[in-house]
Amino acid sequence: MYARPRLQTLRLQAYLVNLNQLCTMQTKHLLLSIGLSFGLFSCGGEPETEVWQVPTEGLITTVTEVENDEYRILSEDPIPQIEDSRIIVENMEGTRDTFTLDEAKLMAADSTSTRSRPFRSAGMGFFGYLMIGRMMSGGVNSGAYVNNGAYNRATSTAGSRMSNSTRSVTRTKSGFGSKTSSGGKSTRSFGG
Amino acid sequence: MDNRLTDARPLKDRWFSKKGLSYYATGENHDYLADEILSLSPAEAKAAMAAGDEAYTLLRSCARSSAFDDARLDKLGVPDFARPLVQWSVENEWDNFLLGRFDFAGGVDGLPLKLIEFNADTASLLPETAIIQPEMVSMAGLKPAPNDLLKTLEHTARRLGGGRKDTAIAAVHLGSEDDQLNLAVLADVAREARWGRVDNLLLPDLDINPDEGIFHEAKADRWIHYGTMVKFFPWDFAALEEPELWAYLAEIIMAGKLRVFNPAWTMLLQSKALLALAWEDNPGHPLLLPTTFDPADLPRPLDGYVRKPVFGRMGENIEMVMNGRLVIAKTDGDYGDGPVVYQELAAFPEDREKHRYQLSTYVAPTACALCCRRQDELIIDDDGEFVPLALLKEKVSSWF
Repeated sequence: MYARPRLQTLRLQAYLVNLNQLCTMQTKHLLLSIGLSFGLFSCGGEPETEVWQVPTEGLITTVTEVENDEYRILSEDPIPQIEDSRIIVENMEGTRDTFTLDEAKLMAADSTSTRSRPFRSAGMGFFGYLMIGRMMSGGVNSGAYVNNGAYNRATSTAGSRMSNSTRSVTRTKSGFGSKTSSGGKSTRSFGG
Repeated sequence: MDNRLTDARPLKDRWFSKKGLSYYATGENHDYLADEILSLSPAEAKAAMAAGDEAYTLLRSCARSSAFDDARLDKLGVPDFARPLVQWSVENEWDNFLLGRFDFAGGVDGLPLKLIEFNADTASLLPETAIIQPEMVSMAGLKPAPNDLLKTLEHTARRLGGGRKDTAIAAVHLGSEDDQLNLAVLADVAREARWGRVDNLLLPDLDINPDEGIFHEAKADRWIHYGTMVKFFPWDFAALEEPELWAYLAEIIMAGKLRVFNPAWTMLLQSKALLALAWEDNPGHPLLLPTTFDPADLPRPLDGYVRKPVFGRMGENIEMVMNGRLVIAKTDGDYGDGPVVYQELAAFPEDREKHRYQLSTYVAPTACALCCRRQDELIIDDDGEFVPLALLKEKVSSWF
């Protein structure tokens, strides 16, 4: 019988509590939600999966240039559809540009350019959950907002909406092939 | 044969280390690169290239006609649960084959070219052929044998494209240095073809989410999403040893969330049973060796045959039999338990020191480069030497 390989547990420690709770309550639901017919959880044994919360609703985020090339989040407003999410970038000269979620992802990924700055700032707020898949349990960075008022408003509207409408997904740490590999040391080749 | 061999000056350690290829010249590999270069005549080189194209057409066609035939899939060794992905792949990824290497017997000194097997899934010898061979041949002042490996791979990679712009490419292996060096050649090709960011990843470190795709946590909280995977482990490894891996990949691939090179239908090409089916479909084809599922079905079993596992590598678990029962050569390995085929013994070119030479042709997917290994044993395995190939100049070839 195929035996699941042991996984590195260090990374999973943050999720142990979640997983134990889930094992007792929601195992069946999660199994169905990932659409596979064989068991992925071994609740009695070592945790083998991580459970993530991902957003199901979108955001319109406005970032504003407070100093040269420095942007802070002005507002975040919830909207029903993720695909309708937008980032509005206000520059000091008064210009406004609007970007879709896909455009924002591309811009945020280009760390070499100053053009990515507004997007990276936006990513530190709730928009980060949409744009870069940031872990929702990690919270947002209050320093990314123009002031405390903006941060509090965002948290109580967009943040609250988002947290209450998430769905769970499993990310299964592969571990596949760990019997054959040995962490980078020279092993048998598969070359033909 | 012996008049085709020229002494080869070994390349300097510094050259290897600058290229990151010291692995091929040091430690237990210190005598891996032969100290001789084999020169092919232009006619021989042309024939070997043509054989690559012909063999690819033949096997690809046989794969297509076997993919929806359960009896054939049984013989090919494809488990039931793996068939949906293989079939989906035939229907949706038919033109996604990137690279394979045919190994031939014969091809020199008037011996007919005969297909031994197709390394369809993890075709190795890439750094040796693409980087080391041209350098050794050039240092010897000889004309290189056909070698458009990198150019053809890049051309194909550009045609295939890098996938979704917001995803990266995962180059996945299981840790072996040789595998990583081969994969690095493919990774470089992907970069040259502007596929995007390519990351070298150990398979156990990949996060596979059957709903969303494959990811890796590059930094704390920073997950990279991969839309394309180039791998250096074969599909049969997943199907036979890690079936859950196969299931996860199948789910993601069929949902259009991941492309893998080579695509899943390559498993059909990789199975040596395909050679037996190709022989059934094309009996007497000049490029094919008689290959069957029962030695009694070979046309001339007493002349000698080789018994080999349908999924095996590096010459492991091979048995060479003469006169119907005498085992004249045998290798051990990890592939001893699965289905087998029987292939007629072929004639390999030999030199006076009894080295047997095996020519190979890369297809990407058109024939693009030749390489060669030799061994002074009956079975060419992990201990073989890599022999750089050169081309005889036209005016000299008339002397032989």
